[in-house]
Amino acid sequence: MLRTIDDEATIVVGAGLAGLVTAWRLQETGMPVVVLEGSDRIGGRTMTSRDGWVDGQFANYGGELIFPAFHALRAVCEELGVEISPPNVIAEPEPDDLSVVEGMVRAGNFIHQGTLVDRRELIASAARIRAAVEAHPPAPHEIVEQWVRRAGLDGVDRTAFRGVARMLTCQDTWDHDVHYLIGPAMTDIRRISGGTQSLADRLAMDLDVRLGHEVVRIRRGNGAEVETSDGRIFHGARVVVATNPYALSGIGFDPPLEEAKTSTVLSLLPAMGGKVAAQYAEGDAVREALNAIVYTDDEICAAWTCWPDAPSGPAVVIGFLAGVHRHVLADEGEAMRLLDDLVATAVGHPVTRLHGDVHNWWADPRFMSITVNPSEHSRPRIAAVMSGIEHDTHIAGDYTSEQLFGTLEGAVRSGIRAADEILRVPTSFSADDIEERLTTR
Amino acid sequence: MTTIVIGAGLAGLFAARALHDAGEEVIVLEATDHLGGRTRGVRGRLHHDQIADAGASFVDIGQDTLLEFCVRQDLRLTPQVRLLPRDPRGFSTGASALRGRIVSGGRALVDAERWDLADEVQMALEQDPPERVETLLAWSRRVGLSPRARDAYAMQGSLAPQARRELVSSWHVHPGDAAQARWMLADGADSIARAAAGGLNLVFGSPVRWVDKEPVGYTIHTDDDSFSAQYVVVTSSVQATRRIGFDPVLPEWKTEALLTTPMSQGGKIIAQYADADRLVDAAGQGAMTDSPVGRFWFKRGPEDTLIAMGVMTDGGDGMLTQHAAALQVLDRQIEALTGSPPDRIAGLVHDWTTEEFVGGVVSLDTGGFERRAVLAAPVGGLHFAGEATGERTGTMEAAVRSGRRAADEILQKRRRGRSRPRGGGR
Ligand SMILES: Cc1cc2nc3c(=O)[nH]c(=O)nc-3n(C[C@H](O)[C@H](O)[C@H](O)COP(=O)(O)OP(=O)(O)OC[C@H]3O[C@@H](n4cnc5c(N)ncnc54)[C@H](O)[C@@H]3O)c2cc1C
Ligand SMILES: Cc1cc2nc3c(=O)[nH]c(=O)nc-3n(C[C@H](O)[C@H](O)[C@H](O)COP(=O)(O)OP(=O)(O)OC[C@H]3O[C@@H](n4cnc5c(N)ncnc54)[C@H](O)[C@@H]3O)c2cc1C
Repeated sequence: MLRTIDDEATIVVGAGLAGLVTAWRLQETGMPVVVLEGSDRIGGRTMTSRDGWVDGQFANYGGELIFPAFHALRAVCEELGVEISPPNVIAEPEPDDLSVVEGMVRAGNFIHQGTLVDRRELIASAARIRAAVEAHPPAPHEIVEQWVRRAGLDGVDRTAFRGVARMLTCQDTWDHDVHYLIGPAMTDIRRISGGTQSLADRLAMDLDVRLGHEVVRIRRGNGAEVETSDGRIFHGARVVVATNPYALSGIGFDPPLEEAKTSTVLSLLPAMGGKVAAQYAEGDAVREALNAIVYTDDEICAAWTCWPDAPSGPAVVIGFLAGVHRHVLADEGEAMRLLDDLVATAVGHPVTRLHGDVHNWWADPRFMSITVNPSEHSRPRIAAVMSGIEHDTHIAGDYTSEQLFGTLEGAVRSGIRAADEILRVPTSFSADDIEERLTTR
Repeated sequence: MTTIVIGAGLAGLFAARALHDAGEEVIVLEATDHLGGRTRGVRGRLHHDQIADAGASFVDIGQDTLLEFCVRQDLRLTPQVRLLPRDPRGFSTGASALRGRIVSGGRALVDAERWDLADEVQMALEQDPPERVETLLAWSRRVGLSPRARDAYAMQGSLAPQARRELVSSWHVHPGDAAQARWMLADGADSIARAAAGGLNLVFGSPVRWVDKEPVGYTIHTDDDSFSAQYVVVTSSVQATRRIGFDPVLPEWKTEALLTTPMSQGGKIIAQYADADRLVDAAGQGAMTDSPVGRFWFKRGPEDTLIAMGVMTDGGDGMLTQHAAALQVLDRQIEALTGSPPDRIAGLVHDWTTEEFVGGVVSLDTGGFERRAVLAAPVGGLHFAGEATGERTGTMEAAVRSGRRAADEILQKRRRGRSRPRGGGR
């Protein structure tokens, strides 16, 4: 075997899923790896809060829902013994459906102008949405809101269509294209049992992760010299930068980051927002009412229970606050009131909040977004540009993955890809090596 | 047949004006009840009949279309505001800006501190200049600026384009082509729109929801009305345009450009104070700060009052919606310079991020020449104008030039249409 183990480590910047998967894969092959994480916790945008919730319950403040196509994530979980929950049905598609929305409308709950829409009305709405898609087939690149206007959707149908789009992207409907909604139906979601954070914790178990190491400068070419905000310097054979896009564009690369990369990052439309979470005493009633996702035409885009199959006890509800309504996140009282109202509307009677919290990813300079959802058509270009290797610098992260861009799965895939890149790096031959091993004597 | 102009901002008004002056029939459909778009003037909130500029304030060197228009319409400007000082050699750079007043951590930096910071930044700019698109933060980290110099340097992004320092490319602040001298409209920024609107057919409260192409021309639908036109000039912001339906759907290259042009997120704060003389003595023409009010400046009013105007970047802290708190932040920045709490007599905050028909401050020119060109390109009889579609992106000048350009595109088509039969056809 020509590949020799590096005597200098690979430095991974960022202990989110992408960075942890890279580091874990490399360490498995025996390569030395150090992970530098700017914050005081691992997991990045997977974050499970466990303090303050009664009955050992928890809330996922970051990534949570695992869709059927998340194969790489599931394989990693299996390999590590991280348990995944049984499926939670979110859609009832029918064979002649023309969009993802119809199935989700049949199975979901929708709050339209403050009231819960009756199930029969939803079934009728699904049929009308199907007719609209048939009469005005959306172009794959069409912006959701432009299609809603062109197709003339209104009333419950408009709430339903926009609601599903907002739930899937955490963005306003004018900030992304329609491709999520016209692909194959997604029938169920799963979660990581005990909270998404468990996966990050497990990945990090045997890794050398240094918390509180905010990377500010990376000198690269001929190896990498990585400097943290308090002036510590780490030398490595190479660096994998596995932050989110906006942190990447703020790191002082020397030589500077390729212009195409910076321009690409700055041209993304961020999903601006975060989550609001609360625990309610009326556990069974809340679980029943929010077992299906609740979508709204209001500030909170969508809400669900974090642990739908909890056997008993209170229930934790999670909601997205994003886009034009994100400012509510800065007013915790108001955010709580909105979630209380939503849950009460879904359940049909007032509920008792035991605990609650908001997490504002948009306000955190290390993230500045929930995720990014560029158009389907631009993804291959963005992923190619962002993941391109330059000066011993590899880039990982959910925004560098063409498939399942901006998701837990995208993060995992990017980590695997970055690790593979490094494992492919050939041994460097010195003149002596060449003389000794290759020249004819 | 008619041309419909979507939007009564500066781009729409200048497009409509040019078409109208050439004898064309034009109707301007404006979604809101306000004239001027992002140059809106808010009336009735300040004392002494003063108008609050909720959006744009400054005209500067190079805004020649606007300046010429002001001369012709006899619109007066305020005395010059020197926001960004020059360095001792007379140059305006990304470093010289630090010589102006700075409030950091609630404290006004003294002259010697600022000169030291400016010197540190100047040296770094000379030794290792930033690349064009490299962000303010990335460059200041790459060259290893001290934390204080880095913070002061990065504060500049809050003026233009009013975005977080992680998102602002270096060309916005260095080399200092950014305004060295600036003037405001004496009677409010919307005096330009008011002058341009004269004689035009404007329909307010008419948001365009979708546009249908017909065998000849277009049908333009508002909430409760529809209009026919041969040409349409779309002057809504990139975000507002993403909310209008088009049938047939816009081509992929156009959608793509719309979806890759973020708008900076923020707003404007406007407060009126008594004791203008005292404030100006102590605080000069305003300051740059590390608070949610990233920069503010003054406009003198009658009876020893002045208006302080400031820009606010949305940092997710809720300040754009918590108006009382934001106004107190502004008070405290002024107090840091003057030594005592200023006497505020009125104030307001205008959040452009939640404006349905705008959605932000200005488009971030992250795609450069190519993106602008694509945003500007017509699709059949749909013509596109607005600050995002031309050079000097994000200014009033860009808007007015783009409006005239779109009008010319239509007039050229008309001339071609007329000359063909006359020449006997080909
Ligand atoms: C509220 C919310 C809900 C979501 N819901 C879902 C969902 O249901 N399903 C789904 O698939 N996805 C969801 N996502 C997206 C998913 O969480 C992310 O795609 C994924 O976690 C991204 O992982 P990553 O490793 O690419 O980036 P991150 O998790 O962002 O990791 C980057 C890491 O880098 C660190 N870092 C940043 N800058 C520096 C620096 N200068 N120096 C050192 N370290 C630094 C950060 O602190 C962080 O730990 C959601 C995200 C959020 C926020
Ligand atoms: C806070 C702030 C400070 C600024 N400071 C300066 C400055 O100092 N100097 C400077 O030169 N520039 C400044 N600018 C930028 C300047 O204001 C803009 O570049 C310019 O006014 C944009 O004009 P526009 O016509 O392109 O767009 P807009 O002004 O946005 O006009 C578009 C119009 O279209 C309407 N509209 C949108 N959608 C629809 C629809 N569907 N149907 C009907 N109508 C619709 C809108 O209501 C609006 O009236 C500032 C902007 C802001 C917000």
